[in-house]
Amino acid sequence: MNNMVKLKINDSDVEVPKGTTVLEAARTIGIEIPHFCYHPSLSLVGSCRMCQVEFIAGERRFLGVSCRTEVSEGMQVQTHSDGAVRARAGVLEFLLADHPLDCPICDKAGECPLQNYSYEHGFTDSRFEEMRRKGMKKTPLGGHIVFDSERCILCTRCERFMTEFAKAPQLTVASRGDHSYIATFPGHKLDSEYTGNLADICPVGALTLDEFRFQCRVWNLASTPSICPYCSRGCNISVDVRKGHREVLRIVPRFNEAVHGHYICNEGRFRPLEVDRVERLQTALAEGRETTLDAVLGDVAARLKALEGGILVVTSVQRSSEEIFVTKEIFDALAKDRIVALKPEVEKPDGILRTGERGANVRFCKELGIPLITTQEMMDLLTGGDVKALVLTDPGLTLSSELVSRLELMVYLGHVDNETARAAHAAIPGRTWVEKEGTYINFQGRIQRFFPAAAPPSPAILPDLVTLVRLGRQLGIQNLPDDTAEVFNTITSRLDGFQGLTYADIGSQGILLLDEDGGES
Amino acid sequence: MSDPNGERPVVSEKYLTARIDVENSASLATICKHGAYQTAERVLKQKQPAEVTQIVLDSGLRGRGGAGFPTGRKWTFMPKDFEGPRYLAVNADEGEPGTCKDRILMNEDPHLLLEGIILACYAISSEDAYVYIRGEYLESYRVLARAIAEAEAAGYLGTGIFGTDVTVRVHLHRGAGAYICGEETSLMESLEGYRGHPRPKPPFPAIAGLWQKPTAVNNVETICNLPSILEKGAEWYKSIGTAESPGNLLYQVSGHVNAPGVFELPLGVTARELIEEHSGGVWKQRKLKAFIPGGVSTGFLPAEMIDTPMDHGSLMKVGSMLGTGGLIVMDESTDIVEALEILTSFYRHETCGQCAPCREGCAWSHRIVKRILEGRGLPGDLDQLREIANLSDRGKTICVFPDAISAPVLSALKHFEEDFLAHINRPQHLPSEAAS
Repeated sequence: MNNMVKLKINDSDVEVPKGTTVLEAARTIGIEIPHFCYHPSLSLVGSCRMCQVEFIAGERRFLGVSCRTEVSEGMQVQTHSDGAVRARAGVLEFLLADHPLDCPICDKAGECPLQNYSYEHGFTDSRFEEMRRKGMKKTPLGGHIVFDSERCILCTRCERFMTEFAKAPQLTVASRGDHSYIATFPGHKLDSEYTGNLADICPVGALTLDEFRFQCRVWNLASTPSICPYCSRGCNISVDVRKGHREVLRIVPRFNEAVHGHYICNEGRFRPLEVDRVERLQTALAEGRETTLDAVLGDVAARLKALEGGILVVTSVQRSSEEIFVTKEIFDALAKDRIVALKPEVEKPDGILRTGERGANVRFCKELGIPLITTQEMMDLLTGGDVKALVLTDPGLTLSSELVSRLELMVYLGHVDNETARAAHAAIPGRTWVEKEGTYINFQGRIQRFFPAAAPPSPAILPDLVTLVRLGRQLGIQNLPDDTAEVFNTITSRLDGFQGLTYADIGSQGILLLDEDGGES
Repeated sequence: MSDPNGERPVVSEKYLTARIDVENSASLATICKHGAYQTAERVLKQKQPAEVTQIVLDSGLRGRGGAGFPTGRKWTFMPKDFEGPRYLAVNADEGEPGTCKDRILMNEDPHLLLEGIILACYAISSEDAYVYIRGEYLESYRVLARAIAEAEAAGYLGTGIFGTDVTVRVHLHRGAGAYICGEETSLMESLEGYRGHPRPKPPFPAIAGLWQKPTAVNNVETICNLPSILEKGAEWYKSIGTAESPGNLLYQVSGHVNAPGVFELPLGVTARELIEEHSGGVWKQRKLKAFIPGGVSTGFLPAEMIDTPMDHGSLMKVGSMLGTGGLIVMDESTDIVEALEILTSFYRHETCGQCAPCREGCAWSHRIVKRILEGRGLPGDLDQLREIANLSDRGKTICVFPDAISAPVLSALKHFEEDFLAHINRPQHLPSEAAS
């Protein structure tokens, strides 16, 4: 292996591919070298000087930045020698000297590298006797971002992110020296679908989100791994709610190299904050009147069974694989070939992350052979006279009460309390995606799990999967499990490409479907 | 003829400023009567590039921009088998306070610089030279632009110069007033149209410089040495100055002297000779207190060191540097704290701000010195100033800017601590009667 390089880091032998930096080589043996300007997704500038380590060449010891020094054969590195620690402590002291230290009101506190490194180095006092500089404390930069120049350490991650990843070179360092500051072009605001990431990559509290400012201390957040449902990429995210509360306060990307890397788009970051800001259907309704779930399910099953054909079932590309599968299992006998989902809107991919295909689970619908039809085709079906009963499990589709009244039976399952729900003969409350678990399969064929991050507004609102299975049982289908894992395992035993997978196999980074040849699709 | 015992070197003829008193010296027709371009023509017709490099190596010519790196050695670092263009960048961003030598060369004898550029380009096989001129030097820019046009018209610049197949094009680029752009890598960034931030080294400019191509960056005065070296040979050159620092240097004397000016003298003359013999002595009958030997980044030296020879090695021995040879003289009335406040304010203003230790360190140092000067000094301030230098200089940043501020700060503290203590210990917030 002549493209491997052997070196010594803190007396451990390390072997890494040629071209690896010292910082990354140290990571492979679990040594984290402090850094600010370095970010694995951005170009290297080596200007914050925080990642200095000591290199030893014979009798000579010298300092260098580990982030942009490539490994070389026989190199000797000390990451925590006195010299290295002193140099890094020096950098920290310089950065903290004029830092406002307003951690008690800073959103970044608790997940702030500057704060963490300071604690690690044990600084309790400052040798800085001067008046701290006064700067712009809350300059709106546009794109959901508020800038605090006093906290900024000029690492330029934001500038590089906008240029290199967002392909929108809209930030720069203005002026020079200690009077430099991050700025947009005069008179212009940030304008990009990716600006939200600036708050994540800022290693201090200089760039914060309009939406999250002063909302919650980060240590009071409960974070749940999830999958963004707004396009078919399925970016990995964490859904943050205040501990013990329901409201989604923040979405942050969860790194997954194979799917989206470090970042997410603004829609994926901010739309989940609105997900619960709709009128929620809280209880089951029969002909618009509140009733119990069991009563509604029994009534619906009886009426469906009484029908001889003419049933249309609408599932959704926003539903989990398990819900779609169970829906198909239940209604296959009753509504042959009449289980459909609305075709997702398709926009032009932005060449960055957004695939343009606006559905979380389009791929699974295709795997299962569910026809994807347009709204017009749906309307044609409903008004064509063949459809006597409609089972609508896509709360994204609204139907007029006039249209509903022409049907013998309309059953609605969804989280939104709207005209459609009120017009339905039977309406069953559902959960939002942040309140339930399951899997989506993204455009690459990667199966990914999402977890319940928040409780439903009422404990009476059961997971949609459970509701569907109960309806199935009323219809006489007894062998359906109502546990997501078991449903998933049933799917894998039935469909090609899923063979051999279990719910537990999926892991935090997802797993690719197998293609026809048994290779990863 | 350098004295092997390191004693006072023999004064030789001038060859850098020999023609500046010629009437209309910037005109091609005039200056050609005084021998301009003859060496270049002969060298291009008779010598190979490698021979030119060898002569410059043998001459021992050291860079005149401040670091004193051997010019020939710098050229040999450029890869020989590189396919594609290679460049010469001429550093005319003369920004080091106390320095004003390149301006005279460019304004008064632009064709000497152009002839030197031809020779340097020939040696390193470059067809393009970029002259990065300090923004404030508008006159130099105009004179050089005119000189280039005249030389091109005469067939001395451009393609096929002097009837050979050699091409040398000279491009002028004006800086915009940043001191840092005199640092060779930020000069290149700025020349390419980016913010003047120093680049990390390696790669060095010789390997990946302008537009990532092999590039030699040489100072104006360095280049102006080339025509004479190639005309008269390495042995002649080595006979001037000292063994380790051959040649003449344009010493510039400014500050508290009667007759400040630029003086072409062999390397190794002492500060005393420069002050007493060439610039009319310290003014107003006052005594010398301190001097800065070669631009502010070389730091303060006390009057006792006035007999130190002004060459690279001798000044290094006393903890300073020859730098640019810009000698700044301070008489006994000078408050070193006040002088240092001015210098640190300059560095604070001019640090590019890229590296945290430099950006924050320069600002911190200046604020401490300013506070001391204002009578609000604290006992720990002097140690803190030393600590800031220690935490930022000697390889802790991308370029050597922190070393440039450390030198004046540390030397001021070393040689003139009493000036600081006088401010720190002076009675504060009290009327003078009550204090006494």
